[in-house]
Amino acid sequence: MDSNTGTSQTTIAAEVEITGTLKTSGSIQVNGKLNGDLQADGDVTIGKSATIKGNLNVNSVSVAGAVNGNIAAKDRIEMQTSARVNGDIRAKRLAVEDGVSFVGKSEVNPSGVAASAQSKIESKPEPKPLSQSEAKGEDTKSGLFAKR
Amino acid sequence: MPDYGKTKVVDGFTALRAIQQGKGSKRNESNERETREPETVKPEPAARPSGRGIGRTVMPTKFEIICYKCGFEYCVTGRADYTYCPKCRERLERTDHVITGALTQNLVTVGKVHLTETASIDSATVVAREFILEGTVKSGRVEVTGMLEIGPNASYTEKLITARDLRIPAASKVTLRSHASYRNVEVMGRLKAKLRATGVITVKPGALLKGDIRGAHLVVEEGGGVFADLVIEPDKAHEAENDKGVPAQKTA
Ligand SMILES: [Zn+2]
Repeated sequence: MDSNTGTSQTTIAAEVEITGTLKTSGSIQVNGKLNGDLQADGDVTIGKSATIKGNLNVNSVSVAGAVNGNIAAKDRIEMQTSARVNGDIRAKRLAVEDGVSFVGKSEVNPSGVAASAQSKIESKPEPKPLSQSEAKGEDTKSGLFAKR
Repeated sequence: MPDYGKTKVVDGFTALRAIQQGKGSKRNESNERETREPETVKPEPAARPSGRGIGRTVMPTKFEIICYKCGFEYCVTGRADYTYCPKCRERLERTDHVITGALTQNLVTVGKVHLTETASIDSATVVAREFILEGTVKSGRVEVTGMLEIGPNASYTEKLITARDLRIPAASKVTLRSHASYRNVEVMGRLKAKLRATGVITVKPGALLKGDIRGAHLVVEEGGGVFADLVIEPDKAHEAENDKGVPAQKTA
């Protein structure tokens, strides 16, 4: 779409269905159907009409359609109102609009504190019995996600 | 606090009074009879050139009232210390309270109660529309018809507190150990919980939400963190509404 303006972006039109792994070093907009994984070094836009059954490994992604698979973004995941995500997400930053349907595990912590390091921080002020229990809880937090 | 001495703000009451005075209504006449000054009209507004005190027009402040007896929600304007529920006719105290010491007697209001860090609740029941918990709830019961805010140094037994909405302010790090159920949850600090929300869960920038989260609506603002198992299904909002029964159960 932007090919005329210089910044190249691949677009998968709504009527297109692809089976297999899609790799790109640039940005891509998906409006069609993808049965397979998507790997992009650039930014990915998943349009309202898009359906993806596979994992996404991208720099950043804006989801407005349906994704059935895990999303791993180096930078940012944005879920727009119409987004339907069934899978785990992992990113540095996250923005979710009201109306999103999402079932899965989220591992997004923009404050950058590693999950294990958090227990130290949270047990520091140690207010009353409540926070002590919290500190104990924090120790198991990595297990929380390991459980599943 | 508005200064009622010099009226620069036109609220509902002053507007009404102005109309009555402008009309030279019967009410004024009866006042005159009572004061036995038949030729004098109330002096203060009449002495004022018309429109002099009117700087700007604002809507009167509305207060949202949730009846703690029947749950009916309505709005009132003005500053009366009490109101009557239009549905069940219960007299509802509207005053806000700041508690700084030990509270041992029951407190029921549709206003706000602020339990400061030095304060504690001991064998007392507190019912309020908004409750800011920074102190200690040793025993008794706290029933919040609206928003419960858990401050950073709050100490409490979860099962003693029920609330409809929950807010975790920026400095707070709260862990709810038992299943918690609320309508709206606003996280500005850190919250770890097994949480079910029938309304909107909002994660503000700088906040972190952890645990097992189920709800109809999730909003994560840029900069907010979510480290949790999530089930967010707007389509199932009605189902969630139906089994929201157990509010805010927390055991320390
Ligand atoms: Zn009532």
